[in-house]
Amino acid sequence: MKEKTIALLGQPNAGKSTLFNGLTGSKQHVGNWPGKTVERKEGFFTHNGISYRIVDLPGTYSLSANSEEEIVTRDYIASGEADLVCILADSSQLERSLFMLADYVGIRVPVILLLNMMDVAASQGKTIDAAGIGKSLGIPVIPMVAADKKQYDSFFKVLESADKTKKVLQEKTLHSLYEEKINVPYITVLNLLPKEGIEIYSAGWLAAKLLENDPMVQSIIQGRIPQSDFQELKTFLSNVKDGNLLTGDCKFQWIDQVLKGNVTAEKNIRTRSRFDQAATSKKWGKPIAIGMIMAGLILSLVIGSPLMTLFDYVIKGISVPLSGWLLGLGVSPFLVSLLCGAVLNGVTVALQMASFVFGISLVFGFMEEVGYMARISYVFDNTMSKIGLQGKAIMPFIVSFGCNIGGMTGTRVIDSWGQRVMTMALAWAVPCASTWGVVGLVSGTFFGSGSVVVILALFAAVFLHIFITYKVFGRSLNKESERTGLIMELPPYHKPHWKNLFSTVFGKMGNVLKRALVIIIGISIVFWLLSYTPDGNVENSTIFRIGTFIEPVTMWFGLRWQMFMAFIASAMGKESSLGVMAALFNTSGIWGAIDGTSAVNTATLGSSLIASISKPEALAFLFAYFFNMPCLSTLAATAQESHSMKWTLKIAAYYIVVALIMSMIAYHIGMLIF
Amino acid sequence: MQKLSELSEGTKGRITSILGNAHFQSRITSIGLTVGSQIEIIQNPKKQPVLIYGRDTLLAINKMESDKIMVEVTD
Repeated sequence: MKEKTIALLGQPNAGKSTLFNGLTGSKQHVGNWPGKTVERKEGFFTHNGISYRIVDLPGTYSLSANSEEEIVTRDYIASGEADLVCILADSSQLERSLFMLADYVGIRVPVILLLNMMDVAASQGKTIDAAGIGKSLGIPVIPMVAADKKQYDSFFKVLESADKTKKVLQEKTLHSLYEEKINVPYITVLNLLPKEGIEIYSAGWLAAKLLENDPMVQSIIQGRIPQSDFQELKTFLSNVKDGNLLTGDCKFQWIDQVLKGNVTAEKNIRTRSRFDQAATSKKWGKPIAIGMIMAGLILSLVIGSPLMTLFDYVIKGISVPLSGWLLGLGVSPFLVSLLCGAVLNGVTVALQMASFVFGISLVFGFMEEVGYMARISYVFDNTMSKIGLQGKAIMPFIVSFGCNIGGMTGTRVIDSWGQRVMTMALAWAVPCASTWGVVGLVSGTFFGSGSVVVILALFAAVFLHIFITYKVFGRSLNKESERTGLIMELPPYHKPHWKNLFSTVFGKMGNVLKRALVIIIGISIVFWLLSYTPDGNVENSTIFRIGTFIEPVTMWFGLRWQMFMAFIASAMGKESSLGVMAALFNTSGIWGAIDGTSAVNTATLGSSLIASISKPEALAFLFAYFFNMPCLSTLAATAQESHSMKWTLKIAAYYIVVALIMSMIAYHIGMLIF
Repeated sequence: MQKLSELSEGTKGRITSILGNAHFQSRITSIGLTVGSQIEIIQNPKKQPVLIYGRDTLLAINKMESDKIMVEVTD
């Protein structure tokens, strides 16, 4: 039996991913569109014995060809791979949200319209006659709440029958509007095109896109009409100005006609709540946002930390009896130590990281879901514009104070790829929560009350770092001419759909966990192998030999070999530095590293640090450590979100080099001071 | 005719033209603002994006971008 392919199309915030997750659950495959830095999400589900493949197209505002996302979307629809396209619209802002549908008119691939968020529309006092809209469009129109799986029945019913009916949008109404309102330019272009259109595109659609100055459509037409006609067309089009404004106007008039008589609003509800007025005001907007964010970070710690403690406790509880049992079975101590020392510790750290991401995604996901997040972007737009970004980029920075991984996934809301990658590159500089353990210990041990000054210096350097990074990457990643300022809707506040929120959060946590497990266990094993010695004396280990060999070089940066190893470990996970130092400085301390900080006796470590390294060296290490890349999981998250390994590695290399330069400067300044 | 960025709170008006390149125009159009659209300025403080009501939606538009939107004040 053949599998049916359906594609989801809709503007950002129309609820595409909610529906996608609701339909497919965990049966998803995420990758890249071939050769593009755009995510391709595919999922599977079966209903009534029919299996469906569902492709989540990138969230775009229209079907023009202005961004990679839009090009991917259009190419996919044109490929004919999808048997049916489902366009999602937000019922609470139906007029605006139907623009995608209007842009689709004239594309001859069967389509249905899903009116999502009917509950929000109802709470606004709007009544929407879906059947009436369907009648004037000539396609099935289904009212729904994508976050509520119980309401999918009518959608499934339409899916089953859509195969036989194959309804295509009627295009007469819109195209007569073009004829009437745009008149001569439209008719002239139309007459130069083949009457029957080209492939999936009708002549009317092609004509409108040509007027909109769409570069891709010109190339579709070239060769399909006589060369003289094509030249004539090009000359004619070069004199058409603001074509997309003309067609845009027609599209919205068409939407008005479609909705006429089918939507009734109780009254014009334009009153904004007192809270919203305060949340967007110049005076209170930022304090409220900062308060909410602080509360959010604290709350995510409150949610995440019991989980962390629990995982730590459980794994430790397993690891001791397990090693005893395995040794009893006669398994070699080498393997037991590898499993219980390296692998299980890796599992603990990965689980703890996932707990933290869980807390953060839940709290900030909630803010997004109820509609508050857009307000934060609004009040911080001007601040962010100073580093060439826009308001939507604020959240990744804030979330990074908790965990950079969460920050990276938070860049998804930003419109352009360049700005998205730029935001990631800058947010790497934000110190995450686990940075502070090591900073606290080292600065406290060496500088006592002076550590306040050290930490202030670190923060001053963060700002400098961000500014320099902006200058370094800004030119290529986020060109001034390509920057787009904030153009954003502030959605109406609404109640969260808890079930949907939790399933999204669990999905995210699962992703982080999977990645973190692989990476962290891998590193744990490598470090373990390097530092393993049968007698437990670190001086017999491979890591000692490598470390002491390269020390002459690492001392340029003020880093003794132990500190350099701790620096390398911090590139993989900030929290692992402490363990590495403990293992390398206490010559008797066999592998306790990489495992969380709990196992490290900080008092002993402090005194052996004082005994072994000088103040300038400590300062050098603090800077190297603080500005190193956040961790391998963040690297993986960046690669996933940017869809570009090349840029991810560039950013990582840049961070490591800058951290070493910082450390060198700090070392020499330190030698002058102390 | 005035720039959107220069209008003060409470002003109602009609968009008369949208300047800028095709990319910007199509972005603005897709969010619901076209020539002829009725809008109302909700607030327009210094150093913050303009906040307007247009097509049933509360929209925030950066000052630089709102420089390119021309409005005829109706009341």
